Amino acid sequence: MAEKPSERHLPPPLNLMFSPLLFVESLIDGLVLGGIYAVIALGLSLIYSVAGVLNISHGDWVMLSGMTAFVLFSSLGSQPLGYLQSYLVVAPLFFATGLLFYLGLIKPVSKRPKQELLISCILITLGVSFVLQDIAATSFGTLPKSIYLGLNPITFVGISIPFFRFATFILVVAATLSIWLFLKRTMTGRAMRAITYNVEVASFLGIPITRVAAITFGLGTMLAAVGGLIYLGNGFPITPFIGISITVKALTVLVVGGAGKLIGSLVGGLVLGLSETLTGVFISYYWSPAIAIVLLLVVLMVRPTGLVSE
Amino acid sequence: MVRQAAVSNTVAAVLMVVLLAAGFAGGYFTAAFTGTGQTEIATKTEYVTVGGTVTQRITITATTTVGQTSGPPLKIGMTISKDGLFAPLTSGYESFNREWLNWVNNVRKGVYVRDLGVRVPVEIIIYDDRSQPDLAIQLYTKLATEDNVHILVSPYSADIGIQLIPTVAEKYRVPMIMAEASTKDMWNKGYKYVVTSMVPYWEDNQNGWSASYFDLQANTKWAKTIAFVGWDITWAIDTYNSGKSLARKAGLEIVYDQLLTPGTTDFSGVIRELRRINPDIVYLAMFGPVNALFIRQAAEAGYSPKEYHVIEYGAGFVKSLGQLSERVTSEIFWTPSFKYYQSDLLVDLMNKAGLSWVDWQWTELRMIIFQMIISAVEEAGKLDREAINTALHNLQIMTVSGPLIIGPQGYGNIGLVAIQIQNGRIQTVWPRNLANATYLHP
Repeated sequence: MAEKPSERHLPPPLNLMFSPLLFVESLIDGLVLGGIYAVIALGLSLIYSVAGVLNISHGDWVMLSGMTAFVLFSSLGSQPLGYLQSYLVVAPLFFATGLLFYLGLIKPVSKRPKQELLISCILITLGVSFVLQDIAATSFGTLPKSIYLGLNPITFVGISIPFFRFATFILVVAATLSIWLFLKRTMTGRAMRAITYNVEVASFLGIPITRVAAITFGLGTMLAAVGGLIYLGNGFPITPFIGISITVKALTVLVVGGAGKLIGSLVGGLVLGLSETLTGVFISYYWSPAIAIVLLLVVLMVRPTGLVSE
Repeated sequence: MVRQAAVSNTVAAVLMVVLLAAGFAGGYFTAAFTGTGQTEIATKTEYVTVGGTVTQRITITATTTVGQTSGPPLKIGMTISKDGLFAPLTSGYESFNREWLNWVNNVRKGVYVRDLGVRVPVEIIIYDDRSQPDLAIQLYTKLATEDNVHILVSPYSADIGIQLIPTVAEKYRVPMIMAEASTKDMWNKGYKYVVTSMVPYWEDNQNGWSASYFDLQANTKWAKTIAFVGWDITWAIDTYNSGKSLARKAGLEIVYDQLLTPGTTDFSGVIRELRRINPDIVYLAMFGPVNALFIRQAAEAGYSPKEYHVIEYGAGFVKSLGQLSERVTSEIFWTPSFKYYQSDLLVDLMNKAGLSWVDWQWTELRMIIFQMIISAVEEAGKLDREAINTALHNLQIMTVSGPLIIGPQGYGNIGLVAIQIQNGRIQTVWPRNLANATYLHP
């Protein structure tokens, strides 16, 4: 007879539960996962706060960039260099696509009252989400796509980190710093921040709202694409149907960290990534997916504006 | 008398010429003379309501072949997941169905129905269930009540299949053959309209999913420890639990086990734990592409156990893993080295369908189902659901995987053999009488 469900688990070995090396490795895993969430959520947050659009298709752009990178990686001989080259193609391509997405689909409804705009944009981006799924399924097939870079892990003092996890950390820091510098030091960045604070005043000051919103859409979509590239590089599988779950994760990060805040996305992403990873390793992998919902509820009840203050 | 006979012969000959000419003009003999028949594939789009509120767009594909057959068609209904979780594992079956239809209608000239005194053509109606149980129930209901199929073939995986038995097969009294879907609860509730070719593989005896593999381990004795990792879904849990029991019986110590929520694709934590525990064998009870993903993530983390055992490899496993797939073990119901009934035909149909048997692991189950259908309908002698169901429950036939006998509870006796990937090829390594390669181990 097969075992009863209650008998099916072995207790976790004690030497594992109290292993400091396992804790450090898990901490690094959590930070990297959180970093990926942060980059993706940052794009969603920018689009939401500047253009006022809750982009339901955000996760599908992550998916589509991963798919595109997979094809490029495969056609370039499945070598790590090919993967790096895909960044040069995918990032600008998705920036341009995001720009056109705004001008073609969002701009025509952008003059509507705020409530109508929100609902219209949810419906439009939901439709785009379905279209992107269908495009991906028919163009790339429904098989999960994942890549194997074959790079040796980095090992020091008994801790072993897959090489690309280490690279992800650098990529996330670089992406966040770039966006921060862009927002702080460029005219367009300052204009974006001005719109975030008050769109009417920004308009009165002569900031070209449509142009800035379009650039924001391009930037947000590019961040989604970078998130997709990092996601793929870490060995996670991409299928045409993962978009919506990524969007939900990004929305959770937004709520936890605070919408419209650069640091908020980073903090939200890291909190979510660490919670998921440490819960899995030290409590139960069963609870990993649920922790996002628990976090969301706790933050909404205790600090509805998010963990990061204005 | 001689003259009269000559006149009659002349009249008869003239009549035959006239009839033949009319036949050619009407295209009546085209299929018979070309030997290929004419396959008609009709596709249309319809909408069904799922869960009372959600409307889903579905694509219907009906494939019929006009050959030297007559009478009403034998209608087989099924869904195939072209989207979602199961799409990578089942979407190739549509082309296999098409090739089998071509063969059964044009080469075999249909299925003989005794009461009609003719060989009837076969028609397969396929819908896309998108790997969604709710949609599958709606579509199977449509197959049973509107399309009036004679036999249903289940979709992939026990999680969907088990929901279709009470809601469709039993409710509308349509015989349903479980394809790649079986679990204990399908067979212990007294259901009357469901059968499968497979053994009850959740048992921890010789029927167990990995029984052949653990028999191999008991004989070679190289491994001392084993770890189990699985997804918490019906089929995987069945194999995971029976595998653990069989492993203990084979003398292996289970040093780690971890069931994960379905959909888990980040295995970094589990891999870290496994690296520290260092079992000889890691037993992966997940879908083929997910098993491949686990092995890749472990390799990126610099971890590789002495041996991986996967309960399914499926589409793209060897190609996507390359060298990492070497010496991975698994199990299968059939390999081309089996020389049972219509083994060559299965290979031929798969080639024509563009399916590699290495990638489309369970196509043999589809072939067995078609063998079951032909035998059951010809035994029943009529296109009647009850008669076909009775015949299915009393089947004793030869299949591509050996003799099949359907037991009183509805399940069959087709079991699995242990295989190992060696130089990119799937080799049968156990039992000894079917092995075509030596098992390679540390």
